[in-house]
Amino acid sequence: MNAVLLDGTSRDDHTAAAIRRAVIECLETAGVPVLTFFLPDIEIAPCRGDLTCWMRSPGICAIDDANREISRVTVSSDILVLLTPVTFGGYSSELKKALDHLIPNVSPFFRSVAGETHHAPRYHWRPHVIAIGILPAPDADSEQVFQTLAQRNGTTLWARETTCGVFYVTEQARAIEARVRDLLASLEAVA
Amino acid sequence: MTLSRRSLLVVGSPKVEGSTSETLGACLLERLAERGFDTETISIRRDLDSGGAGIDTLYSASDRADMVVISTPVYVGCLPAPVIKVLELLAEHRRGFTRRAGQALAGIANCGFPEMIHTEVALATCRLFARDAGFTWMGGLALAGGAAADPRRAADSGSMPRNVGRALAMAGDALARNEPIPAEACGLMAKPGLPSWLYRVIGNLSWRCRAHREGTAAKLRDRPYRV
Repeated sequence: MNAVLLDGTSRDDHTAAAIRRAVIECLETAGVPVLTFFLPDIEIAPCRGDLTCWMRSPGICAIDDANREISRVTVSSDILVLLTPVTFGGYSSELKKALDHLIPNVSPFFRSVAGETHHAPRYHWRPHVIAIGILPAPDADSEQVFQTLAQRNGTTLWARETTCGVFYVTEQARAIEARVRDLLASLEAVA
Repeated sequence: MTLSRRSLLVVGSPKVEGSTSETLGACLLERLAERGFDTETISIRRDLDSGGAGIDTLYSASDRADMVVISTPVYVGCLPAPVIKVLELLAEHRRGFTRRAGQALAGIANCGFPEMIHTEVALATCRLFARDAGFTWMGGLALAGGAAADPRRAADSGSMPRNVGRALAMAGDALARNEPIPAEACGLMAKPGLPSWLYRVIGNLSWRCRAHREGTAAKLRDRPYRV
């Protein structure tokens, strides 16, 4: 079992650093290696929406940059952790630049899922998706949108299960560690 | 002397020209122009680059606009990364000065799936941006159905799908009166073109036809990153 952590936070975000440490420690203690991508340090061009990854080079983005490697390792992961400041209820642009490029990992073909149209899976990939957001303070509106987005993305990515948690910058390191352990407790590998 | 009000359209599509986002936004802007607005359009893809050039133009345009319209596709359930980046920069820019009262923001989201639910997070993100950046949120319009609902094809033939054109006109009139986009306009825009099951059947056939033209029909289900 292995995990990929897509980190869309910033270097000066101490809460993010505490969460990142806690996630990695919790998973590695449970024997799950974690491959971390600190996205602000990685050049990824924006998705062009040209459908090359479906129609011309199925499964591979036309843009030859780090997006391909992230797409490749992600589809081999059992646990996908998304770490981000909650940005207007959603992901930061840094995290989203990587997520936009996960589309090659699904098929263009449509399928019905609980009455909604989604793209069929390309791989036998059923990750546990864990979306972790950070806010300056409680914000019920933003948190609800974030949780909705995480669940919907779990469906898009054909996740086995999607878990979501929101942390606040006022939380202390010990509390963060405890909450991260609770968040990951639902995972088979960690329980 | 009455000063013209100003509107700014920010286009979030990665296509340089002729996107659904730009067509929808331009139609709304045209209505605002008919109602006395000066209008301006900035395409994130065309006018801003990843290095930040052009961003000062966006700042100035948004500072002087009375009405900002964001028109964007939906990618992976929400706004594309470059649109989020622009909103992050605008929010940061607007923290730095005393905001002008009365600035308003509306959103238009379009997506390839036939169900409107896929656009909800994108418009909620626009709404929360408006809240955080000090704009009055005037509501959003959503167009689902991708190619089946593509207003460009109708625009090329000289007429937009009737419900879409009426929705945009109704929205433009309301915004010009400084009123939120009415629910009736949202309902008109949301009118499904095809039932979902038929959309999926036609869509899947369309992918196969397109792949045949590209010579990749046999590779559509390839797994290049097979573990």
